[in-house]
Amino acid sequence: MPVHIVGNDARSLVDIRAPTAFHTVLRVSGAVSPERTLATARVSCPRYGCIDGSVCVDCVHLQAWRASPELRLYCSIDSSEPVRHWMRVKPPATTVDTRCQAAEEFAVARGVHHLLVFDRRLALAGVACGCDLRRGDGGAVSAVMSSEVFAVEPATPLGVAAAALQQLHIGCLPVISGPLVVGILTRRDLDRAGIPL
Amino acid sequence: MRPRILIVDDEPNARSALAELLRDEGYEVASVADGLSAKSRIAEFRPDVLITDLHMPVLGGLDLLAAARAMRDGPEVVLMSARPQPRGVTAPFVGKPIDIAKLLSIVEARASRRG
Repeated sequence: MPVHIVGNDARSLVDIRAPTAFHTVLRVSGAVSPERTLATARVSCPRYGCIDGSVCVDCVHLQAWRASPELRLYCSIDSSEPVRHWMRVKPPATTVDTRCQAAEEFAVARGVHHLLVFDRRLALAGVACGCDLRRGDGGAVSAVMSSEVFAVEPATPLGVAAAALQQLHIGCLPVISGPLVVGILTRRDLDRAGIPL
Repeated sequence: MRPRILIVDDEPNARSALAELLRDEGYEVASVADGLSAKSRIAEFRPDVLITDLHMPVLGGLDLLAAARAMRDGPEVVLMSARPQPRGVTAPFVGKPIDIAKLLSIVEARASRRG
């Protein structure tokens, strides 16, 4: 089954003509050190998790910050930001032959709703969500997965990816670079980036 | 009454973030993308304080500073830039990314000068 690359350029197989346009300001929290400087703070970055504030000092997203009454950073994201900045690498995956119950237990254990599904040649064959797997009962994942796969490339703008999720009524987009699956972008990732869907 | 603030910055992300944080602080805020638009917006919005980026393509921060000072009852001007503070400039300056505590103390001090 072919993978459909979505985007708004000539290489795209599925043309997204109206990318979602947005400028989002994320209010990011953290913990200040006794020095009360940004460089010595700990920041709960929506992109990287808990990081040193010294990383934030040179970050292009940081616009402003305050140390009191609590640490607060104002970080901006816009629709031209590439998918690779917000995708999750090493996406949880399963195979077409795996039993649905086992795949669902794996997804729950990894705390994800979507699993990429690979065939015996280790090519991307589909996407299965928790709802698919629950109705699969004792059967194989291949019986319940969505075999029509829409994907984006790492450089695809977030605005295009957000529009694709909405226009195609899907919950995730595998991120593909040439023959390789390099990540996954879900609605949850867009939510982390403060993008309204 | 809280001071009215006009933000001038050609970078949309910086402009919207600064506007949101100042609204969080309770200020009445308007924003424009260049110095030329700012000159006309000053007449309508009548800001107490104008916070402007130094380097903009249409009309830069220093030109805007000169224009504001030439106005009768013009706004107090605060300059901001990701580059170092230029020498010899007499207006208050904040670096980017903006330290909000520093900016707010400057804004309050400048606004109080206007009564």
